[in-house]
Amino acid sequence: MNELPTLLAAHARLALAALGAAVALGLPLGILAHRRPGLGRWVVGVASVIQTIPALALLAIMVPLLAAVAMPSIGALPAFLALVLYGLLPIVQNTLAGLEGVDARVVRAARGVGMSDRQRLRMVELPLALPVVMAGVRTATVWTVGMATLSTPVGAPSLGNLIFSGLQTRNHRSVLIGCVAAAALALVLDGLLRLAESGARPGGSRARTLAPLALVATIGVAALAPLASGAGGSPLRIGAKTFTEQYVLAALIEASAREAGAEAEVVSSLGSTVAFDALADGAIDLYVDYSGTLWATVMDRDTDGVTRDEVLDGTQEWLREEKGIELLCALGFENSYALVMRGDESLESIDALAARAPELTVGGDYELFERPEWEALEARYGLRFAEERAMDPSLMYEALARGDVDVIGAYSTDGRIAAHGFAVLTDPRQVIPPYDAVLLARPGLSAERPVLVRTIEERLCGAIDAEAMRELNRLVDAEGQSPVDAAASFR
Amino acid sequence: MIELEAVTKRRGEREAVSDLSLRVAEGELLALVGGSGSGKTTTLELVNRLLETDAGVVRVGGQDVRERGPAELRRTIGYVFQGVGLFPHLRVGRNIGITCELLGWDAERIRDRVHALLEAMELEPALADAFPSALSGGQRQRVGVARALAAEPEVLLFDEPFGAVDPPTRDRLQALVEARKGTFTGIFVTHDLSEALRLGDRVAVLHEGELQQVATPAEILAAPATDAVRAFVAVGRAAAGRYRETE
Repeated sequence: MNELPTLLAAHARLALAALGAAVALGLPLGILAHRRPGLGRWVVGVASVIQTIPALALLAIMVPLLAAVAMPSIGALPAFLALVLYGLLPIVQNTLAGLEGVDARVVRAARGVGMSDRQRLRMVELPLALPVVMAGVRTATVWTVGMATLSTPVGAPSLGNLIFSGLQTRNHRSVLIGCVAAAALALVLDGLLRLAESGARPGGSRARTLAPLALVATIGVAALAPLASGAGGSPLRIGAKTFTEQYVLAALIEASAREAGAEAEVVSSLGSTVAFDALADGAIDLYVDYSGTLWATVMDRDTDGVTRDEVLDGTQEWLREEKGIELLCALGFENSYALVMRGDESLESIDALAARAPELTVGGDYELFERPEWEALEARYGLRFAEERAMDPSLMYEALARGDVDVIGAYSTDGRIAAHGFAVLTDPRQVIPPYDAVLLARPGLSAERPVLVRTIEERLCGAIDAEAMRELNRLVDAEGQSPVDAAASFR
Repeated sequence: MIELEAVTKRRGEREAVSDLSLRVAEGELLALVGGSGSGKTTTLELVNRLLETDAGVVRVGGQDVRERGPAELRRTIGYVFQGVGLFPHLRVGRNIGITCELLGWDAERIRDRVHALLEAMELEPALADAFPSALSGGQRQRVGVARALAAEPEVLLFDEPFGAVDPPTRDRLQALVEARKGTFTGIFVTHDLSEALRLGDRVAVLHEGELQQVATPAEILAAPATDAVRAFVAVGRAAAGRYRETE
């Protein structure tokens, strides 16, 4: 857990920056909404609509939006913007409600004694609305700290890294530490703000108001410290998607880079297309993807009847010409989707499955049923299941073992297939495309750091066969090792 | 000097004040009486621009109030609010000195002024550090009057200030105002005829937004000019008469 301080700092930095911006934006908006009720209804309406967007979707949608306006679409910026938008509603709404709740007779008196609009706001309305406004800020604080854990898939490191990777690698301790740390941070910030608020009430003192706020600011500044110390040189940024194999491979690349004397860091738990876009933008330097995934989803090509080499060569050429991305090499194993059943009930081939499918339930990850190769499977084998259930990949093996589903779209190198004694159905019509694991480098990386890239290629290209990969995955999934420890045991 | 010249103020469909002309001489306290909805408070609010006239002119000290900024104008006009309207989050001393603060007086001058006013209003100096919630109703009213007096205004407006306090307290508060008469020009709004008769140099009677009569207290009692004034005086007399019978 040596990454906890770094992640906690990144989390606090992100949440506090977003909170500060939400207050700086929400407070004037709330005041404006109070002064102009017509506009106010609009502002609150828009903020409410934003609130109805699921947090994860709001974060994810920031990536293409930012890319469309040529802004950095991966990392802190999309997370920051989404968090600010999310934090706005409670602040705007409570500022408005607080100002509306100020006794009309007191407002009239403020005008009567000769206060200008601005003086009335500063000396009477805001101080009297403060408890309600602060309740909104505290709600926003708790939401922002909580939602910041979801910024991991858009490439902003946070305590969510512990939770996302922990869930995928079945490291429950890591999940728990991530959750507890996030909750503790939220409680501490909430408590400090409550103290500051009670200090600002009638009879309070300036010291009792400012001291807790100073502590909040200190947390923010302390969270900035790792940025300053880590500024020397630019570390190699290695991307990882959200499953065990990706964490292990990223750890392997990181170790190779360290051996070559380079600084390296892993940007983990990126969404599938987020990782690709991040590489194309240069937000990450390297990551491992799968030829069939690129072929089918990024290049939008037909998956039927193509050979492993055709896919590999075609992908390499397309990436170079269309995106400037370099496909350095294949790592030596395939990780394709595979239809898997409990060993005692297995049906040998997908052909045999097609006859029974109408009585069966199939489980798959969030993407599977939307992917072109699933359509191809349905078309070529006439597959029609009684029910399709999308679920988190970390849960689907358990779901099959328990009998909640009868078939799953598993990953062929996953250690849990063997661990559970599941059987893989054959694909006699060769519909599932070959998924060679391939090492991708961002445009220009080989030219800028040729020695480093060559070292990593020498260490990893063609060096990992399916057997080795399955074993590494098993060490994490079944033995409970960390991806870094598993990677260290390689060779 | 306060002058209203043919002033009309509409509230929705009806005229809250219609074609009202009034003149309060320098150093005079005019009592403005009438029932609920007669336009008394509206008239006051037209003087310090809490409301704007729809027709007619309001002058304070000979100058059209529309020629002055509303906030700046109000700092020169003391206003005692119905229900007081003290700022609950500010200590009593700050409440009293608020207009002085807005006018940019230095802190020491404000402190001296606040203490002088507390003394004049027969309040403990220590109350300067209390919050309004700690005061009795009568104490709050005194603070309200002190606040209106604080910045040495040319003109004072009283909006039914003593309506909600018990009779002995009201009597003492009236005595405080009475004792200062002649030192300011003002309008005292009340629905209590006896209060109007006691405090007003002259009494003006409003009924449904229209001025019925302006006269000295003696003339009002002796020769009510309209049915509305007669009714108002009769109710007051009847109450006083019943009171005498039970003595």
